[in-house]
Amino acid sequence: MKTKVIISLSILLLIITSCSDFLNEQNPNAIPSEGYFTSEIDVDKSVNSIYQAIRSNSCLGEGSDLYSEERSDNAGRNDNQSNAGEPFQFTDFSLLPSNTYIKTHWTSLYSAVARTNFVLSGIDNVTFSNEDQRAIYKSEALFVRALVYFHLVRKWGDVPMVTVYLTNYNDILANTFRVKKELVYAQIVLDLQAALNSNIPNIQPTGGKGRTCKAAINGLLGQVYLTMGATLAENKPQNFQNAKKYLTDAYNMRTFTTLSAIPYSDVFNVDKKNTCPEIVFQIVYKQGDLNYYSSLATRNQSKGETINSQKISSGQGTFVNPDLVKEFEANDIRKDFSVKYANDPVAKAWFITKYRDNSNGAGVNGFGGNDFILMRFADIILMLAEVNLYLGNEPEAIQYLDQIRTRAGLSVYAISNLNPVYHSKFPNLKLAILHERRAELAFENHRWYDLIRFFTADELATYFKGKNQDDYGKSNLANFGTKDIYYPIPFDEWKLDPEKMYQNPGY
Amino acid sequence: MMNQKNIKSGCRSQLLKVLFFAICFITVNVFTAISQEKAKVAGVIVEESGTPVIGATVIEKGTSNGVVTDANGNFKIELNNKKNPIVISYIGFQKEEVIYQGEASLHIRMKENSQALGEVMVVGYQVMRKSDITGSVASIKSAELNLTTPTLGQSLVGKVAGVQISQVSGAPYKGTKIRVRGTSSVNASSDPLYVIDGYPSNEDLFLNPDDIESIEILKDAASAAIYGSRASGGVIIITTKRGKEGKMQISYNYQFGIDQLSRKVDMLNAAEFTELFVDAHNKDYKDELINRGKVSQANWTDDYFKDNNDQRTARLGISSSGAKIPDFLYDFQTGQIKSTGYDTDWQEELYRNAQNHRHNISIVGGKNGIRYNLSGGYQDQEGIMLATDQKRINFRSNLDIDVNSKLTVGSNISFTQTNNNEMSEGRFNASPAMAALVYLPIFKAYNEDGTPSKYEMSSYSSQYAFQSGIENPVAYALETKATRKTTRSTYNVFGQYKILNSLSAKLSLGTYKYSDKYESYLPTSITNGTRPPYSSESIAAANARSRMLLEEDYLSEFTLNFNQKVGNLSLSGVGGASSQSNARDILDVNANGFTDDKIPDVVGGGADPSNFSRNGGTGKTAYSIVSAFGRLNTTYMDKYHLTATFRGDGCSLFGPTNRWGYFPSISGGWTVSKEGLYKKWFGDNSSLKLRASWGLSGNNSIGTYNFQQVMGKGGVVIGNNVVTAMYPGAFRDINLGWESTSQSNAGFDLTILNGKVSVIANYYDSNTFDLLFEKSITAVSGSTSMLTNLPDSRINNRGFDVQIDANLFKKKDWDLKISGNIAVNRNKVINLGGASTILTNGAERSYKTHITQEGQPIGMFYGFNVKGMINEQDMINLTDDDQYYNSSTKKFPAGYVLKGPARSLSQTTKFQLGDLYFDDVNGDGVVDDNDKTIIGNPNPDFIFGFNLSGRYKNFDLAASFNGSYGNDILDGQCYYLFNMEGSGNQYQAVNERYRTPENPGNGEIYRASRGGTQSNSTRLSSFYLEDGSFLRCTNITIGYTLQNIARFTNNSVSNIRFYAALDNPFTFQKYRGYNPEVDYNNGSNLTPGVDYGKYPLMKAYNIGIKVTF
Repeated sequence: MKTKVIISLSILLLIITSCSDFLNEQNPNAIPSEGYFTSEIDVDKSVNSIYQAIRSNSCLGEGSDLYSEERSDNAGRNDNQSNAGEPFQFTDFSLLPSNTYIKTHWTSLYSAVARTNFVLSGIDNVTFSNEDQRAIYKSEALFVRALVYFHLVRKWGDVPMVTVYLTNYNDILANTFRVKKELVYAQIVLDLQAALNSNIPNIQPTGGKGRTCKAAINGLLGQVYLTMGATLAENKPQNFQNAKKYLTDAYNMRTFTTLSAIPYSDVFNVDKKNTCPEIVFQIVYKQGDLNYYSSLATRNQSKGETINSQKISSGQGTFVNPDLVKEFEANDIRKDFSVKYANDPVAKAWFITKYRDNSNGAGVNGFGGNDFILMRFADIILMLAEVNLYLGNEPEAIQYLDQIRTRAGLSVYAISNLNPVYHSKFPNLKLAILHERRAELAFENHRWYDLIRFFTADELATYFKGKNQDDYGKSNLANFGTKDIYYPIPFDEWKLDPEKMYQNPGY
Repeated sequence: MMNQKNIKSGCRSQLLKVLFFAICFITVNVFTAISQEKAKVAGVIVEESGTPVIGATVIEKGTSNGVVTDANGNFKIELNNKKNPIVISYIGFQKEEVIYQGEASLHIRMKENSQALGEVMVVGYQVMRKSDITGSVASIKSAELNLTTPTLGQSLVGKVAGVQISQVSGAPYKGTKIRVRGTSSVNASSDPLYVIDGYPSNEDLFLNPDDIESIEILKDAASAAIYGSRASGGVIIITTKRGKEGKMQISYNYQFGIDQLSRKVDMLNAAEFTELFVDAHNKDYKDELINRGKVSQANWTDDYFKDNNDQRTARLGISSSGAKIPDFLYDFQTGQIKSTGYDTDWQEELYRNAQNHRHNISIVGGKNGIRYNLSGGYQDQEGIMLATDQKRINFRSNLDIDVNSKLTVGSNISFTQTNNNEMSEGRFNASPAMAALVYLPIFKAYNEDGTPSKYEMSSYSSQYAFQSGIENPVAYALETKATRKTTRSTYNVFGQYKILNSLSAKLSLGTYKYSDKYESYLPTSITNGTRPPYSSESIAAANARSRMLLEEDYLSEFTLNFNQKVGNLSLSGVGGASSQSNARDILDVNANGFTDDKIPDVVGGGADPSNFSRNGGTGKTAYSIVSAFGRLNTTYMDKYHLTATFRGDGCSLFGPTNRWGYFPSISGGWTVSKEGLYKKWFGDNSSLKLRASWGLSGNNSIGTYNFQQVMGKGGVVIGNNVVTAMYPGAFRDINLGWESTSQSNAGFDLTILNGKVSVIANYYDSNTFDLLFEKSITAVSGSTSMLTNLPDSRINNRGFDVQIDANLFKKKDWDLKISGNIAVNRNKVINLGGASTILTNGAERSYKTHITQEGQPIGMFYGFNVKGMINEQDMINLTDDDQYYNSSTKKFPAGYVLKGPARSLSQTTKFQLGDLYFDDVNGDGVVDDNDKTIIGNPNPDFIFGFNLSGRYKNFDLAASFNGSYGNDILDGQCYYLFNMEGSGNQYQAVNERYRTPENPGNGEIYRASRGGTQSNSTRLSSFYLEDGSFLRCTNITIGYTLQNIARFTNNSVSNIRFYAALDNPFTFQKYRGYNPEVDYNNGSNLTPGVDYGKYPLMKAYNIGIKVTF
């Protein structure tokens, strides 16, 4: 009997003790993030992921116009119903901190930041056959991190800032606070200057489109300095000087002589997106590909129209504020290229035609190939005009401005300025440059940033209130106020630490 | 009553008894030796109720001389010695011994075992006498189940105090939602653990309800703690029928039923809808003209309503679909509405009289130490919704073999196969249930050629703001495909060896295999968005999905059971160890690129490799659990009971530092009625036991690998190539550990009137801590939340449940039993451990619907409180307020006292007469996020059930009811069905809306307007909450048993029963929608009580026959 009891008890013990290995289940579907970097290829794939991050429509991709163009006076929407009216809050200046779109945008931007930090945290742990390549990858990560922070700081002002990859909860907690915008700008500058220290191509070759390049890094650094000069109280002259330096460096990397050599329509021509020398940095979409196509052309198109895409639309298309349509000068070739009036009974409104792909390759399903351009030389040229204006070099500024106007089929500034209509609408060079940027870069997500760079909060409120409500559809212009210079900190983020994640004024 | 008395007397005079028997033995033997007189004895054996006992064994004691009773309970036996006692035995009954004293015919009543020996209950690894149980365990025998219902859960509804079983869906392939004593978790599942014949599982495996012998529900943590880490949602122990020594019994059951929609929702008819639509679009036109400054409020006249669509567009300067009216519905000149000639009731079109057929056969018996129970079932259940059904095959074989007096081996094998035709649920574009409510009655269901009409509503959507993307629900149901084929099989073998009389060991090895194949197809023949069937969009949208899941689970378990009596002290217990491992493998693929609908399957997808994609669920997962456990029961003098249990679980789901969890419990009981003083005061005809317990149980339902951050994979285009992108996935907590529930329970078991009435009452107080929680973290980390344990967090559930059973009458010809139960649970989040208030989204819309915060129950409804409806004076006051309102800062000057109602910041149209306005909770003059508050409670004040069963001669009757009181429901469908816009059809209540100052409706339902009243229809407010209280009759069964049938069938048939039953025949409810028990979020803790396009409940009319051979 006793032996049987002992045997039984031993079986019991056996089951319990044979378990330590038994409990170690390894995830067979994915590899751990810790210790991910073992080779150059791992770095390459993680660098790809930072471009994937900014490609998101909630980040900086082609569908991110909600967060910029619809916020500006260029576009909007008349639908105050769909999705609980939340997207409408952007164009209506009735944005609430709880708006889920604002949170998604914030989250997507920071997700891109985290990926760049991840790359930079691991890149030095692997062996490269060619050290140049390591430097190039670093340039790319630093550039994207700076780019995203630049968007964050302009949209929210002070924002949380991390430059390391956070791997434990206490570090996350310790970084849950907003950093003064001056410090964020300082970090952006630091990153971009460091990004210049590699042999990354001045302009990416065809096979590299979608990656950044030295011209883009210079261009962005120039734009950052320009914004700092225009919006920060300190060091204005130095910032403008720096802006001019880096914008000029970028400009000098162009492969064309003068802008007029490139027809305006070529810039947006799907067939020339890899060869057009004006494009500096773009997010790439693949025509006909089910997963990576562009829907920009289709999305904007009104019912009854086929100019953008073979895909039939049933609605109004993206609503263009008549305010923008009216801003175009007569004979501006950019107007007919950028917008069109849709006469269908459901539309009776202007829609965007700047992005077109009605090729058979895109087909009736609208699998378009349009790239979304984040930076091009016309932008850099206009920023050179702007910075020269600030530095008191008006003739040089006008010379850059005229380069743009000439291509658009317009007379040069000196002549136009004599036109009373033009002069009364744009009474000084600053407003003329702003106007030119609006006409040239419409729907490229620059307008909102231009407005907050050219105007103070009070000036901007006055500027908006001076506009005609009838040119805005359902959005209520009366809602615009100085609070709108920044977005609200998303409710959930503010809630994490109401003190250190303080809300922006007015929300 | 009887049992306790017997046991008591037996215990008291054990020694005397032994002595007595010894004397008897000697006496009988001596007597036998003296005279051996034979006798012919006849008699009848009946149950206490008078029903004959068929097949009872009648044996002359001490001999092998025996007979069996016939179909009428009669027997004849010739005794070798007429002084020998006659022993009568039958399964389930107490043995009877009588001595023949010369009667012409013996009339012997047998008593049921439960009353004789004390009912036994399965409590996990052990069977215990009910009288020894000190925790809170509910037990339901098969006879108490509503067996005409198709699923196990439904058969239990309303039967158990403290267990909320909700019939959340009427789909034939869906189960019920079960909550034991409230919700104790935030992000981990609150579902109970099922233990089927000892095998732990996460679901009831679609068991055949006919196979069930008993169900025990371990409600308190002390009872559940033996199942440790998986027990915090309660444990449901299911025991299936086993073979019994005796004559082989074959029974066959056939049931046929007709199922219908249990309740129709009242919607507008075509004329009412048209009236609303015209009203709403005219009002929108007015709102827009005024808002755009085209017409001032003062200059407004209703003559503008005569503008036709072109004039409206011209006057507005823009085409506004909300302001236009199709001319087939409206005569602009006269202002009269027109008819399309159709008045379709879409519910009538979509739902049908569905049939169900069910066959069950069982063979049970045992001989020479081999006992068997074989059963098979086939059920063909059509759904009440077109094109839905389930076919189910059940097979079970339970076998026990006594190898010798010490060793018993056995096996349980079961197999279930279900084949479903399913239907998607949720939003109207994919849920016919919801589409049948939204689709407009002005359109036809079928074309003249008999094919379903399609695309009518969507074709007008962009022009007139009808809801787009909706298809005729009949066409959708008939032409889409969603099938599921599932097989579940369990194989279990065990051996039990009696080491000592008081000690036995059991080894059990089992495996469970589960395969599930889901296939769906969305055809090209269905409207896509605003585009018609077969359009390029519909063709592009057509897709097929195929998902294959294979699961293997292995269990090995070793237990030692002991049972020892030392004087007045009884000791029993179990100690054991088990290990369980589970592996799943899922392949989930999608195909598109279909050019036609000829092959509605992934293999019919397009030619391009990119037409095939892998869905997110694809992958392999595995987990394992190792456990040691034990229980010790002590009973002293049958009066004082003490039980302690312990379990240690190691589980691979948790972080390496927190894998092991330990779950102790202790409980005690005192049978007061066995004390002398009690007897003296209250006599013998009542009993009372007091119980108290405490225990710890855990929750590990969090999914696999959640403690380790892994790399995600994606792609991006560089140049013209798609390249692979690797990035760190969601942030994870490496220290992820257990969530534990500590629960105390106190209660009593009381019987009075000689056991005719019994009361079981429990009070409990439970605290869950170290909550598993999806904690918000700053997006700076790259994630927005992480699953972690909240230290110092606590959720409290407390309440009581009472169960009363009364045998009102028990006579020869008739008896009547009633039972009732009530449960009150109060849930409260005491501490969220520093986590911020949790706002969750429980309906389709992006607004938050639920709030979980400290001091309140989990998942309260969150939004604005409706304060009133704008009247004429309010309009004047609002104009006054306007002068002071700064619309860019959204503020009034400091100190300004509002005259009119506060305006909503999410409102884009100025207030009009008949609009609702919300409560400005913080009094800052505007309604914004800060004015959102708790507006309702999804938890009931109490839930209850009651049951009735009776018999009159050969008729039997049973009825069951359940209900809930005081909970609110959020009808998420209101966004479409109660928005006064006319984008889709509306609840009939819309007829009671505000129209004009002279015709203000019922004062609660706001004015019609498309788009103008956004602050109402797109914000969650108390307007969309409804009272969810209900009382439902879940089952009524009437049966008739043919007696004496054996005589006419030459003993081949021993019993026939006919029955008729109604399932869910009626419900009293206030809720406007289908089913107040609905749960759109499928058991989610944070978002309960939402209705949104779910398959409605059915009622069933069943008839059946059961033949026993």
